[in-house]
Order: sequence, then C-alpha cells, then structure tokens
Amino acid sequence: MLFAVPVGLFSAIYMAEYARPSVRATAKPLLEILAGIPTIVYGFFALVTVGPFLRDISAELNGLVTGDYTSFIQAQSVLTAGLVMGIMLIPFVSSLSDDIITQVPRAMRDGSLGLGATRSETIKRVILPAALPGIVGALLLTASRAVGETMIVVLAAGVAARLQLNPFEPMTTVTVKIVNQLTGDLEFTSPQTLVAFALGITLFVITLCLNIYALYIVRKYREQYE
Amino acid sequence: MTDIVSPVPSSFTKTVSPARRDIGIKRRYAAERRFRMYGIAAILTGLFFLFLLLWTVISNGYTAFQQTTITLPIEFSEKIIDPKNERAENPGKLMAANYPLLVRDALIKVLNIDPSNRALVKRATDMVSASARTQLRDVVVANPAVIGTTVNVSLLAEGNVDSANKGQIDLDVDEARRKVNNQQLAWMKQLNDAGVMTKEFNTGLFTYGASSRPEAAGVGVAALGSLYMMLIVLVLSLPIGVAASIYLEEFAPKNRFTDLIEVNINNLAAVPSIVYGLLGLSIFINFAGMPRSAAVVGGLVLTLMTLPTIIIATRAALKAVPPSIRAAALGLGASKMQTIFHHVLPLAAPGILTGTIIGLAHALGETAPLLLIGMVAFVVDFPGSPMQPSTALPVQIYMWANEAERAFVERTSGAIIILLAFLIVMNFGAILLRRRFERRW
Repeated sequence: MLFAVPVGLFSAIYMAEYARPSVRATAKPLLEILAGIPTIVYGFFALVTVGPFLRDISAELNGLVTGDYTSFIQAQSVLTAGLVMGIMLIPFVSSLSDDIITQVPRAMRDGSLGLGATRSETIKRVILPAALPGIVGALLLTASRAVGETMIVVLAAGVAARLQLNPFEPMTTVTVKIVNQLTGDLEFTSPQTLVAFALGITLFVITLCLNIYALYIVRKYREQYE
Repeated sequence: MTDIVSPVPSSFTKTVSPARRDIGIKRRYAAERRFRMYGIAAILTGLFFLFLLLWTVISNGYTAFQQTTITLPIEFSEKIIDPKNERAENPGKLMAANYPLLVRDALIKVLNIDPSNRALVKRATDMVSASARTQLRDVVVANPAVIGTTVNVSLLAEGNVDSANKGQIDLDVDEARRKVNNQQLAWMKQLNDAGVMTKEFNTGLFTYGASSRPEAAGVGVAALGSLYMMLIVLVLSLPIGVAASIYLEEFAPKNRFTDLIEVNINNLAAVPSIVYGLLGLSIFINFAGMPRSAAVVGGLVLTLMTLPTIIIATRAALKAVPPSIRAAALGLGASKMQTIFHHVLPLAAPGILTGTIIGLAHALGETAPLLLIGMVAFVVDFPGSPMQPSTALPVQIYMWANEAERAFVERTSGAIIILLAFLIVMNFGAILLRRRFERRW
C-alpha cells in the first residue's frame, strides 16, 4: 500500500490536471491493462522475477555494508508480496481517484487559478482537500481488495504461520490459510475445514466493513456536488 | 498536512511587496515543475512495471511455443511388439507391448552405441521423453499394419534436453550438478548435425493435458475447462444480470428495500473472490451434492462473481439512456415493456456488452475460488461434458508455477501468454465497442 498509494495518486493527479488529451488517451488504457491482468500472473511475476531480484539486491547491500554476502530478504517474503500487490493496485487507486478529482467543480479550480495560484498550488490546497473524502473512500476500497487478495500471496509470501513484524521473511495471510486448509482431501466436517470457514467469515466481515464505510464516504461526498 | 487543510493559499498573503514576489514566483514555479515531475514519474513507474511484467513473461515464455523433437527411424519389429502373434484374438496385447525397447534400438542404431554398455544406453534413452511409449502405442493401435515396417516417427525430447537445446541450461556448471551430462550434449550435437533433432512449433502445448513431464504437458484440457465455464457464466449471468438491472432501474419503486439491494450489490462486487470459493464449496458441492472439480461448479461460482459487475454496468448503461427517449415512446402509445425492449435496451446494448465482456475477462483470470472447489486436479483426459472433472487455465498456471523444473517455468510463461492473449483480445473488444458506440446525449 505504501507503494501503490503515492504512485497511483500522483498518476491520477497528473492524468486529471496536466496531461494533454492525447497522452491521457494512451496512458490511461495502458495503466488499465495492469488492472486487467489476472492475479495469478502477478503471483508468477513475483515468484520468478521480483523475489529473486530482491534477494540478490539485499545480498549485495548486505555485502557492501558488512562484507557478509548473505541476503536478509528471503525470496518469498512479505515485502515481495506487498510490492507486487502494490503494482496491481496502482490502476485501482489511479482510476478511482481520477474520477473523484475530475468531479471537483470547475469553478473551484478557476477561482484558485484566478487568484494567482500556480496549478500545483491549486491542486494541493484546493482540489485535494475538496476531493479528500472521496480519495479516502477509494483508498479504503483498494485496501479491502488487498486484504482479500489471494493468489499473489500464495505464490509470493510463503506459508509460514508466524506472528512477526519483520517484512523480509515469509509470512502467511488469512486467504493463504484458507487455500491451504481446503485444497487437500478432507472430510467436509473435519475441524480443518471448519477453521477455513471461520477464517472466511472473518475475512468477509473485515472487507464488508471496509466496503460499507468506503461506499458511505464516497456517496456522501458525491451528494455534495450534485 | 496542516497546509493542505487550509483553504486559502497562504502564499497569497505573502506576495505583497514586489521584491519578495519575484523570489516567491521562482520558488513557486520550481515547486510547480517538481510537482509535475512527480506526476510524470508516477505514470512512468506504472508503465515501467507493466512493461517489465510483460517482458518477463514473454522472454520466459516464447520458447514454450517450440519443442525439440527427435525423429527416429523406428523399426516396428514384430518380435518385440507381438512375439507370439496373438494380436488378432487379443488386441490388448498391443497396448501393453514393450515400446520403449523400440526407441532404444533405434537410438542405438542412430548414435552407434555399443548395446552391451548399459549405462551408455540408459543415458541415451533418457534423452527421449517417456511419453514416447504412448506415442508409439497410438501409432500402432491406430494402424496395426505398420508392424514389421520401419517408419520415421518424431518423438518428443526429454524436458531437460529440450531446455539444453534451447540454450537455457548453463553449460558452465559442473557436470555433476547439471541435468544434462557431457555425453548427452555430444549426442545432441550429433543429432542436430544429422538433422534428426529439430525444433518444431509446439502444437502439444495447445492440445495436451496435464502431465508431470514438462515436454508432454499442455493447456488443452485447461482451455476446454475454461471454455465450459465461460459458456456457463455467459448463459447464466447475462440474462439474470440484465433482467435484474432492468427491474431495478425501470420498474422498482424507490424505497428502503431497493436501496438495501443496491448497497448489497455494490458490496458483493467488492467481496474477496476467495469467499465465493468457500460459498461454492459449501452450497454447490456439500449441500447440492454436485461433483467436485467439475466445470459446472466453477461456472456457477464465477457466475455469482460476475453478476454484480454485470448488474452495475447494465444499470449505468440504462441510466445513460435519456428520459426523452422513454417519454417519446410512451407518448406514442407504447407500453412500458415495448418502450424498454424496443428502445431503451438496444440503445443501452453496447454498454451492457462492454460490462459483460469485462466481467467475463475477470472471471477467466480468476483462480482463488477455483482452488477451493477442487479444480486443482491433475486432469489428463479431455472432459466430455461440464460435469466431468476439469481444470481451468489460471489454475493450470498455478500448478505449473509450483513445479521446480526449468522447462515448467517456460511452460508457465507460455500458458500465461495464451491467457493474456485471450484477455487482451476481450478487453480490446470491449474498448472498441465502447469507442464505436459511445455517444453523448
């Protein structure tokens, strides 16, 4: 998320405020292709490219600093999964915020520009505050997407069920746990399956809350200008 | 954060005296340019990752469309296939004959190996895929007249030999840790020079089913499974989705109940896909007793997943049809049904189709729910009907991504290319439709 939000937001701002129509017409569909790529492909990308790359880079860094060429980032790590998920979320953030920024009324923009503010000042001081609730709603929607994301994490973050905060090592998420519990040959009523269902409910409730709150914010914001 | 919240540009108050204004403008223009750079940088980052991703997949995967084959003159000797000449009364004999022996003999002849040197013979036969057995069997069973003759047959090379032939195995590694040893490399060179070993277009990738041997693995079964599911999704979700949105948009009264439905549909669209998998597992398989890993269940689950997308898109399309069209049709005496089916729906059709295609493309790439309903099956045979076990393209990719062999990485990328090609065609179709029929009222 730390990665997706700035990139997505800035591209949205640029698209909505600066880009010429021709640039917008080419760049926007291209970014939306990113949204159309199935998550399993991102998972494979993480597994084959990003994971080993991060491992090697960390080995090099570690070697430069301490002289010991062992990598401190493992190939399957939370960092890998997070980074790739960030790539996946860029188009979501950017197209949602783009919509919201373009909804800010023209008059507010003209007023600020007319008072002599530069465009970036207009964006920072007028448009962003006006669009903030909508953007927050969009970000919450994106966050609920990230929580429910499965395939990238299955392939990229590993299955080690450890409670820790070090993002450089393998960890697991709720969705991965469900997949692992349920892909074997098990009796339907066995405790393992029931655990998976409990996890599913938890996941559902979390995302539902995020979604309802986000939709509420987005709706409330929309009504202001219509 | 504090200056973002303040609605009045604070620099405005500072720029009073001319001298300070000049400095201020310089600084502010610099900030302006910097801000602009951030925007460009962000877009470029996004595009960079897009190209990196495509490049990874394509550079890994384009070789998967080629397959090394070894064409050997196989002598279908009667002595080996059917020594007691009982194939007339017992055709099963042909199924169980010792076909690998035929391959061995042919290889010995081509490579001039001493047949008594067992280790060497073993290494040579390792170069040909173990699927050669079934390949030769199929030849013989299809045409028993070949027995006793010598026919040139193109056999698949073993996965590692295939990789080596494509230059993907690092030959500088110590021989003991390499999958292909020096002797086999020398043979490969010999076979290549003789024109026996050739690289051909890999039709097997499109027609074979799952296999633990990379050279004989293909996406045929998975593609068929995906096709079944897409058909089911299309047949179910399009009518239901369109009907639901017509009711909600045109007929339903605006009250708390429809408001609740609307909120629910919006929420359903954002529910994680894996939860749909759980739902499918408990309702369709456990409760309704449908067969596991069948395309029918997958299709139903994906239908549930695409329904909200289609409903939302259709409602937006219906909403975009201006009320004047409706008013005119009603004013000329058309009934409400006629208005909707003769005027509103055709005008909204491009929007509905675009939404449907995007929903279908989404469903085609979805993996997580299919994992849960047991579509991660090792399916070799083509499913004859949607009720039989099958896999789907993305699931096949997931399974191959977990395999360790180099040749499987290549196949995975190959399968991804196929999947992406489908998706891009679908998305492109949707964009074209939108461009073509987009109109402003």
